[in-house]
Amino acid sequence: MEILRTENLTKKFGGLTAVSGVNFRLEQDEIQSIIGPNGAGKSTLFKLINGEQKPTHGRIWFQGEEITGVEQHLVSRRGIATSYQITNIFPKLTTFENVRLSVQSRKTPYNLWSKAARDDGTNEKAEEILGQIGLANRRESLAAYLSYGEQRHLEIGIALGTDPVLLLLDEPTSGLSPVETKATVELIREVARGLSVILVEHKMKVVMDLSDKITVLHEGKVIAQGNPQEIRANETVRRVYLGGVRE
Amino acid sequence: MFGIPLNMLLFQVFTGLVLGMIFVLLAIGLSLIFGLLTVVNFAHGALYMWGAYVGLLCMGYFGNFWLSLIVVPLVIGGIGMAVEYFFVRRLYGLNPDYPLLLTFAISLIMIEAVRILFGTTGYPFNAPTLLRGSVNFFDLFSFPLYRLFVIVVTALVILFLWLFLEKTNVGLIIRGGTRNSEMVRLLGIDISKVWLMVFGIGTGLAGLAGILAAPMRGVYPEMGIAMLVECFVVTVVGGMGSLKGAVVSGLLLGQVVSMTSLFIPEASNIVIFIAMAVVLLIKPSGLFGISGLLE
Amino acid sequence: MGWITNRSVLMIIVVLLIIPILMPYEALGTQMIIWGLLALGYNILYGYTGLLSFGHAAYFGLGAYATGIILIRTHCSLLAGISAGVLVACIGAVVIGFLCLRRRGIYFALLTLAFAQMLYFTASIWESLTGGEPGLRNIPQPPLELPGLFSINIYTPLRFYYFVFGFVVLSLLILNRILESPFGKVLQGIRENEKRARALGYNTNRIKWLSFILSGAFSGLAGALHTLYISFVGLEQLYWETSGKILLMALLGGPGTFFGPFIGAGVFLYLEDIISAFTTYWMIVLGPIFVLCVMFFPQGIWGTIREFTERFSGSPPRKG
Repeated sequence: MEILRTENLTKKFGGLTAVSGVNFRLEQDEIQSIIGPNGAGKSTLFKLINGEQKPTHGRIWFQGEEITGVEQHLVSRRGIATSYQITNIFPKLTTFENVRLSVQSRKTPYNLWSKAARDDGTNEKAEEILGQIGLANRRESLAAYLSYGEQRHLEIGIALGTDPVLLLLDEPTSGLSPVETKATVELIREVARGLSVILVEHKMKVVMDLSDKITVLHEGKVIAQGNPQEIRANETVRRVYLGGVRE
Repeated sequence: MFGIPLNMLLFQVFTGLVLGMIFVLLAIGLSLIFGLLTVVNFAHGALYMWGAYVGLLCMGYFGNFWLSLIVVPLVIGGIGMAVEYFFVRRLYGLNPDYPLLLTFAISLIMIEAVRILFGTTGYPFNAPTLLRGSVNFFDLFSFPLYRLFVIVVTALVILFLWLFLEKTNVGLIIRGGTRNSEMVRLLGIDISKVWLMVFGIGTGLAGLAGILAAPMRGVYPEMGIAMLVECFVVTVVGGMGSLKGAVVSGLLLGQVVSMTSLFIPEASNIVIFIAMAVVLLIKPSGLFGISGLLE
Repeated sequence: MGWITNRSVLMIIVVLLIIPILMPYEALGTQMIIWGLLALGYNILYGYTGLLSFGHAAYFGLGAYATGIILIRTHCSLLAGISAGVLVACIGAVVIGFLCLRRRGIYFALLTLAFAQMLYFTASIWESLTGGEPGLRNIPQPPLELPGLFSINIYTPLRFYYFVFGFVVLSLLILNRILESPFGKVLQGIRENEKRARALGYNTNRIKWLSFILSGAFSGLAGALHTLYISFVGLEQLYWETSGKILLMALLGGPGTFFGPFIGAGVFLYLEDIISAFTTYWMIVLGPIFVLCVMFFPQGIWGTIREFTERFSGSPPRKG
């Protein structure tokens, strides 16, 4: 079943065209990676999908319904969650609170009276995710004091909190050591069960390991789409991109 | 028209023009500083007020208005640069609330200092003899020569500023609007000097506005705050960081206030806020809709 | 976590209970607790939601004037007078908050200032209602009474202190409850990272609006109590310098804490008292303190103390 589709998606910033005529398709439970050189438009494509930016042209469908131009917080409510490249957490809240706040978003915020600490459903779910991302032992620490690697995991945890159908991961392993990268890849593989994932990454090994399908962007346009083997063998891609990148 | 004689109407238009020009001078200064440094200089009003007081001092010392007109912006610009260098600079990159709070505190100090040194009641400021009297416009109405002078001077200053921003390298950097731009490094210019310069120019403009306004409005410690708030309204309406917006909305609001004081004098103090509320409801991002940076 | 917060609230209540004994003179304590309440209200918006307001004198003033006007004109009961103040301040917050929240960040702060100025000018023009420049004097001070049961004159400094204290306790309990509720959690999330909160699906604008209204309500309450205490209301209460005063107290004491507003109010008023003995121009002393605060101690007195103790014990922050 098709989870996400874009048709002729284009975004211009004044004179600059960041994304041009992108046709993209994601199947349910698929992990698809978007790769491309710097400036290829990957981040912008993400922002178009999650509603942070509105497209100049083109349309987007999510689970069969059109979401072109829908407000960001409403897109989130429909089940698309984003984990950011630049860590985007709640610094002076504890690790637990960070995740909890995310889980709570599915309920009405206009409850001024009951104690949040008594909301078992929310708290249990938050504990669960905390365990999944391996931060249960850092529960009470302020998020600002976590190590970089821990913060990257928290990043993913916050995205998971909203119980998404589609998870957008923007360079989740950026800045991580090989050991940490491995752990994160495992985490992604774990959480991807029952979720669809779109991944933006620079590390080729991660991309090849995780992806069911890969889309290659160059200067805002799609230049290739296929499974890892196909992409690896693709001449255009090699010329444009893989040539200069570490494996 | 509207039961009011044409000559009164025209007079009011010109009055609005003068007011608008003062708004523009202040708003441009605010906009420049905000555009490059993302700092809202709350002390702008206090610096405007100090411009008037320093003008008084200069008049007392030199007895020459023209000299004072040159000295005041330099002095106030110098003070502005000192404020940037010693205080504001330490807060770059942090939450933008901090520079606002800081400059707010500084403005409180500046106002109090004036109260201590000069008293709370204020002084009159006499226009130079050369500029006293009025000009006759086609026998329709007379307009004070001094106010005409203000319009001309401000227009020239804005013109020079425009040329500076459009035609020079430094101007390009300032217009580029980022605190640390690649362009600066490429051109080999020390960015911190640009920060100083922008603060200096912006605050210098405020000082100039102060001394220009003094003969029209008098000199008193609170003169800066009301003006500052009105300038904030100008920037909200026109868009902070947009020079074109500052000019257009400054002139526009000058007219709005002026016309209101003719037709509904009681409302002249609050009409500017009503205009602001209207703009907020209809087009929140301001007339020139530059959304984005700190929106 | 819950018991820790409640402990803070308990501590404040105990401290405030005995403060009058420690004050050099009673009136200072009464002023302090009223302004402390005002700063507490302000803190909801600034310390907990992260929104800087430069125009909070508006709600203080609205509450003060509403209470004053209704007492003069209708000679109503104490509670009716106070309710009127809170209600009018709320309405003001609803309208002004809505308009100010059309913009974010820095613009929001400037807009709050602009609207407060607008109210100031409106009040000075509308003399028939507000008494204009001289203000409204000799406002009736109704007793605290239950008809038939008792009637107490609360208008000595000490008695009024404990009258306000009652409201403060109530406010602290309500505020504490709100902060521990799901809503309170979102508020703090917005303070920490509004963009992310929005990305998570929260309608942050509406939530901020509600926070604004709550803040206005408590500030209006302080205004109402202030009018009752001094039996007078004047234009200064709407003036930007009053907004600055509130801001300073909140900053000085420590945003985002319960103790902060009261410490801030206390220190501010105490300093004002001492320095005014030497000179009327005490802002010359306070201004630099403000500057130092912003540059080096943005956490304020209580916030800095708290951070210090945390560094050493390694435990996470309490909400007190």
